[in-house]
Amino acid sequence: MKKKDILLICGVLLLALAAFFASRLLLPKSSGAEVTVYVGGEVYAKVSADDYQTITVDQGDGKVNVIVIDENGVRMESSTCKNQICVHHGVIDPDDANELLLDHWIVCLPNGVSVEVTGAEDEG
Amino acid sequence: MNRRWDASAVAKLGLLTAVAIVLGYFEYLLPVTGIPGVKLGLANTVLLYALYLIDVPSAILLMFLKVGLSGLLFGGPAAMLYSFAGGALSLFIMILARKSKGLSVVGVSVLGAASHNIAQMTVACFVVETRAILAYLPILLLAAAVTGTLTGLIARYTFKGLRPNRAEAKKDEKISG
Repeated sequence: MKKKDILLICGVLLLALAAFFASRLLLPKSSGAEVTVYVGGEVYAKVSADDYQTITVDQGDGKVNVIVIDENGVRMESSTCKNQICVHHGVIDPDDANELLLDHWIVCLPNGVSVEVTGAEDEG
Repeated sequence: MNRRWDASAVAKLGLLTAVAIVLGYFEYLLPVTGIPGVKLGLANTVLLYALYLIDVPSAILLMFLKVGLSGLLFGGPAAMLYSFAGGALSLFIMILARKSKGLSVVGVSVLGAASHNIAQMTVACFVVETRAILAYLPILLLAAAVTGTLTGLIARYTFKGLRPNRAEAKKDEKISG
């Protein structure tokens, strides 16, 4: 082994270290969980569960649903429907979405709006 | 016909191809490292042998044969794509690195391992269409430094035992450094 070989090996190790920190900085902790909003059976919006936001679904005929995604999870903040079942459904934590076999949906039948939370896919 | 491809050269290349495929399959059966996607890269020692003790065209042909036949035998089109990307880039880098006077076969092997992993991961990024795979890069680079050094050392000591003839002995100086 020559001197340059050892330098090269150190170089590759340094590169690995740099890549480690770069990936920490560039790739924010992403659980891979997704939130899909359906209106009348069609996909209205599909966003990451890490992307905290408020989605307002205004169907223009007085039916308005407000979906909030924040650090607690996904919930239906408000709905113009009568029964308010969707609002009372509570919060779905995306980390548990895979555990919740059937309960990862928030459905507002009167307004025809449904929210699906899909957890991180563990591949392979 | 080109004089280079006489019967003995063909037989030698056939033998090397078989050894490379068997080593590759052996690693596929026995994942020594325990980390998914990280292999020792023993087949690379055969490629290094061809590169150092035969010539560059033989090494290129060997790489194509190894990737093609392994893909047909054990993998599939997807596996072939990954191995081809890894094999082609790492061989290209190793051909260049061999020309460097300062590097012995160990250094060349480390560069080959690192470029192999980088190429495979780039393909994976395109196939799976997610940047999340990049988080795997540090692990693969770290692994390349370790496995590349190991296979390089194996190659170095193998070459010492396999010195084909006196004329080749001169090349050994370059290898052991």
